[in-house]
Amino acid sequence: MATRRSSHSSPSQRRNTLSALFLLAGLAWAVIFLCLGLTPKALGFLEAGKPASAFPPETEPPQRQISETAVQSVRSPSLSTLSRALDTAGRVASKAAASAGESFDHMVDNASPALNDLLDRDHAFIELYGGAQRLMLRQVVEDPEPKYTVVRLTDTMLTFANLQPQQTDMTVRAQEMGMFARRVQRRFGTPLLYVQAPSKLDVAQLPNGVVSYADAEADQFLSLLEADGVDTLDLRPTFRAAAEKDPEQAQTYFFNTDHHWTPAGGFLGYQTLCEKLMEDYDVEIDEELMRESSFDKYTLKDVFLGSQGKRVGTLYAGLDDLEIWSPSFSTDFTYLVPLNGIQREGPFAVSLLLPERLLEDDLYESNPYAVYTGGDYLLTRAINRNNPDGIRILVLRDSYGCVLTPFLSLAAKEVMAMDCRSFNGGQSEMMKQIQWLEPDLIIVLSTTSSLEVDELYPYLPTARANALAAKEASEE
Amino acid sequence: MLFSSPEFLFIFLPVVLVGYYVFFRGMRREQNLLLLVCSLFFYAWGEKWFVLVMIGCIAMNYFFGLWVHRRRFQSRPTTLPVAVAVGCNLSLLFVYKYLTFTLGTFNALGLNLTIPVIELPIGISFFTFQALSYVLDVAWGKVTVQRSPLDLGLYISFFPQLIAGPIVKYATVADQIQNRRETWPDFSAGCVRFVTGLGKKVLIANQLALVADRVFDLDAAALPVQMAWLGAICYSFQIYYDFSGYSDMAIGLGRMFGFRFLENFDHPYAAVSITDFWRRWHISLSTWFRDYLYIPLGGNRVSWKRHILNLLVVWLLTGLWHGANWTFLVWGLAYFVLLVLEKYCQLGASWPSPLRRLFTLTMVNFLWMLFRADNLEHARLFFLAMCGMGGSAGASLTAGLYFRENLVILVLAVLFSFPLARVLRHLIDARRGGSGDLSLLWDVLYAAGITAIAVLSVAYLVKESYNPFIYFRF
Repeated sequence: MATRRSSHSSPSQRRNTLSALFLLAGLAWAVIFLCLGLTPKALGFLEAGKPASAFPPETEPPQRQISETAVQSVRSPSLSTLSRALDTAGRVASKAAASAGESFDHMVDNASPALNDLLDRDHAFIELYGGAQRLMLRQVVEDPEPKYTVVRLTDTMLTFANLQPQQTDMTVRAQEMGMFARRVQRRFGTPLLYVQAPSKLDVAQLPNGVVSYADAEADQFLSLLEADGVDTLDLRPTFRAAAEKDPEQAQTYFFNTDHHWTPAGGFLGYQTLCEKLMEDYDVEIDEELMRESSFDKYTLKDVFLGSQGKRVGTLYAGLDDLEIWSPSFSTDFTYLVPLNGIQREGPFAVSLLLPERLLEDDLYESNPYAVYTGGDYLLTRAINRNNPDGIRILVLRDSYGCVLTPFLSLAAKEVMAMDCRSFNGGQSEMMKQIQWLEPDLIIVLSTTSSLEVDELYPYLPTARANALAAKEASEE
Repeated sequence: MLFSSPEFLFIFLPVVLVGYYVFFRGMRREQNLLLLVCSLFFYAWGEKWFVLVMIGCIAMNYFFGLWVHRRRFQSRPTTLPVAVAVGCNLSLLFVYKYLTFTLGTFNALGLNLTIPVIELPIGISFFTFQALSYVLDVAWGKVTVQRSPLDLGLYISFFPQLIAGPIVKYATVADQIQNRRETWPDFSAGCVRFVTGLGKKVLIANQLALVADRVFDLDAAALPVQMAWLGAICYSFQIYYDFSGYSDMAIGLGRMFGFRFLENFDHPYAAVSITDFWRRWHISLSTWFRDYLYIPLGGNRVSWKRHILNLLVVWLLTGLWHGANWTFLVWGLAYFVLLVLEKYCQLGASWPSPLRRLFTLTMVNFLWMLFRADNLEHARLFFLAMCGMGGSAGASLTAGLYFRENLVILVLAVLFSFPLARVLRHLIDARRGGSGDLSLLWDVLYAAGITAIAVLSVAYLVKESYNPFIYFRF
């Protein structure tokens, strides 16, 4: 490249030279950084042309010897045949047959996301992006996926909000839930209790101009269920009352960077649920089990970057602490995750808490919240050996169940929890599961925003049909 | 492939630069061949099969050029080859861009014609106009014929200006194709220009596009007046920063490879009149129509009636060039009316400068709304909403939210739509070498700022496809 002598005297030459040198250095760094990412572990850009081959964690080989009970669960036909893993395997097989032309199109379509992932593998760019949003005083950080737009409720508290929400009519869902409850009652004599979990919006306000219909949908759903004779428990008034009494305390019931309730929030929900079980279901629960003072608490500082936090980075969101609650009284549990071959035995802190979930250092990859019951599994069983005469409860849960079910296990003989997003069967399959598990009570636990998520209700015909249609559409 | 995509920034561009300056340094023929091959790949990346259309366009115009040249060499009239070239190029454009619109219009008039599904090749309006420019420049003797089909292919398909211009006239770059000189000052200035454009596109235009798209997607019949204005203003800034940003990137990339393209924008929102606006907006299109249509029609050296007719033809075609929709046609007509009023009725001539600017900006803003509207009815309802005569009368909390959230971006958009940076640069350069010389500090800050724009732009691009695993997704 030639250099014009006369250009040296140009006032802009020095700044352009400096800028170009910085930019070229940055470009060289980025190219090297990308090349370093092209390892067998992360093929990145090249991998974009290939179909995904990784199986979900559910199919990882069992890490422990599976107990007899666990084997029984694995052999259960509906569970094994309906697991998400087999479905994924089928999709992988069909994708492998894609033509070369389709592979090129696939590469073109996926090159940007793959390169971006590779570039941002240490999340520096997302941190920078979040920092820029903070500097621009943004209260709303929009996301390519509208439902994952992050909204700041208070100085520290974030939530997801769709800026163009549409209210969903809950009539059909409520009717089908009522029919399901009656069918279960008629066939097994098992009552069904719908528990409406709270959300952050019960303790903090959305900014002006942002609207959420989640509470209105929950109100409609609850009123329709009650009119249909289904028993319900709305936890939201408890949280609203707490917020009126002590707003700051109430905000500790939810994580700042995540939409879930904290162990403190889950415990408040547990206390309210216990009162309901004692009053309406004649369940005997020792007062000690419901007292906060009966628990030891350990706080892990700045260990949790929640779902909202991962979208906008720590410069915007900050970090959450995580409290570990463990009973100070004697406990003895067997905890099983049959499909994953997990079996743990011993006190609450050893069996129902999984401290190994705290070992991951990367804030963006880790999920310390999963220290409670390990996270979302198709089926978990927590057997309380200290309460052999207690109630056996099946919880059809969303992710709020992670924290609630360990506490609930203290008040029951056994708590079986199903995360129905992994359940591919319909209502008849669910009836077989219920027949097999023989619960004394079924609790359906949903937070407000979960109500419109079809995948959580595969045992309701319309929700299942919608979920399958959406899945097919996304695969196409 | 878009300039503002990681595959362009971190794979395509480095590969082309290394090939151009390392492997083929000083080898013009190979360098041009490399740029041509890379340009075709650049186009094929997003338009797998339409690259054949572009290659066909190159081949067709290469032979038209030879035909015209032969006629000229034989001192015979070039009317026939020029007519065939214009006809073929415009036919190509018509089939891909206007055929379905035309058939749809006929059907609306009562016919029952089958409307085929025709996809629009990206950039076809730009590369057909460039190809026409070549044939016409040869026919009018401005340049000699290009005997190398590869070099002509490079002119038509050169990736910096391929997709969104500027429309480079052949006469501008004919000599540069073989005889350009790459220099470090040009290269470094090109880098800075490219990043400036990237920042305009990613940091400003893309952000305002979120608001504009959302407002224009709303039911215009129920649009509160604040929301309508916010949407229109955001779109006005979006289209400016998007298009001028892309032009900056194209001009910058051209300079990095030794090409000098003419400027395409000159702070159009600082214009004092509509005439002035069109001297500053999409200059390459205005000058193309001026040189290849308006002046051949007689320009303004004709009777006033003929002049008005010339303006009408130019502005109707300018409107249609932007897209096959009645909104574009009316948009072009509206500018025709405003320009005629300015030229023949001295509209605004006696007004104070601030009022003229305000009037110009308001008209431009209204017409961008028309440009963005889905159809004329949508534009009518939107216009009524902006005038407070339709839509919802109540205050819009959502408009307040969008305004608050984008206030910083809007302030930056307003500031940089005026030649603020240029004035600041001149002030500091004027003190260079004298007492209080802050030039070194300014230069370092400037370089740091340009680098920050680049890094921040990448951060925004990463966010566009960022999809972290949401463990608890409900």
